[in-house]
Amino acid sequence: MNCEEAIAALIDAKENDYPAPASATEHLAKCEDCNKSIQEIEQLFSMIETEPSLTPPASIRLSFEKALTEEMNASKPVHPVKKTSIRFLAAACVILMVGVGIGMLIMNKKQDDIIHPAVATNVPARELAPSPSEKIDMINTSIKTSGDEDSLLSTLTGIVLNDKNPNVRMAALYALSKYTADEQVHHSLVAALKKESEPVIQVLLINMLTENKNNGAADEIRNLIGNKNTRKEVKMVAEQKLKSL
Amino acid sequence: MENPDEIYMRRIQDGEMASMNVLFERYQRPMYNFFMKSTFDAVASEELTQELFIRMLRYSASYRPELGSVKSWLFRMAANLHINYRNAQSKKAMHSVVLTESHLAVAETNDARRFTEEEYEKLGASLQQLKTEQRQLIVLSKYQGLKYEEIASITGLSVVNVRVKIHRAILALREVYFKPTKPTV
Repeated sequence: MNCEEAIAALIDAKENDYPAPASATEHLAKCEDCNKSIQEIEQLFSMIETEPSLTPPASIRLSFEKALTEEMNASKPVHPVKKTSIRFLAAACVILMVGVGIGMLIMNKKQDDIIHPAVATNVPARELAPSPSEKIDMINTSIKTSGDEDSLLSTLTGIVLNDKNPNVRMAALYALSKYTADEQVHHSLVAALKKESEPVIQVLLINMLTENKNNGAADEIRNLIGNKNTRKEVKMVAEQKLKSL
Repeated sequence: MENPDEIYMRRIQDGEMASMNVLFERYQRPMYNFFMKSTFDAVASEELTQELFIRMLRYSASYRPELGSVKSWLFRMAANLHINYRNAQSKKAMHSVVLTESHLAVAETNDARRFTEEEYEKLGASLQQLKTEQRQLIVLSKYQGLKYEEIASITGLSVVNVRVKIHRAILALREVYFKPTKPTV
């Protein structure tokens, strides 16, 4: 094996996470130039791996949300207005106006007694709880920086079981995907599957629960298949995965 | 493990546009970082990322799972946007915008880092010296962690060709980064 072939084989091994072929390591032991090259390449890889990623500016989200709203409005079907609809609309307006009037009366009476928690603590309402994207950022950061694995797993499973936002639950599940062999995580995921109503997360949970051929989730997967509210795509994946157990 | 992105995409194609939010949440950081590493220009990266997600909205109906994953589809659009940007830039005078302090301020803290700020800056400067294609391949392969097969689907190259070109790009980066600097008099 010459220098070029040895370096190529060693880069391949590093890129694909498999042991370097014996012929390449033998060459490396004898060749000082290749040894130096590989050490330098390892240093570059290590730098790339540890380089901090940048947080996108908020303007990207704003621009996306604006475009998404426009797209959703544009795709709403327009129905012709019928005479009966106008009568219903008039009745709805009357009900709404009566409701608003009663509401204003109640509010005026109670306004002095109500103190918003944000006012009471001098904290802006926005700062009381992190937004979903802030939570996702926190999850992504904690995976890389947390030294206490038990505490990390407990936090992530708590999020999967309790967070109201599906995007946040998904981020926590992605973070948990390397820990599916952990018994405690497995139990939490089974509990999450029982609670979960979002189809895409149901699929993710089924995949995670079955990838280690652990049949602890089989009963819950069968329940999901038997549930008439489960989407057919989810049932398809569930049946397929159940067979593989 | 099956990727749930395809299921979200199918729902989008069925008219559930709100599912776009999930894909946006998942990919805005990698895409922004892809553009930052490809252009080294914060303003351009911001605009390109915005444009990418607007394209994702407009062209979601054209996505076909049999042609590759959602991730590959997004990176393919990102790579095309970057090429268009490079072509437009080449008509202007070459300029490079190094990360400013405000951009570094939003960098994720990472306790695992073992290198100095100067070393990361030198790495960035070395990347900038590579040919556009080599830089893009390193960003896709090393920074974004994509597999050769995925990169082949994004770039339209064969897997063998991707492998060879990535090897060459890595060697070129090493050459530039470790090239002895001339002592200043």
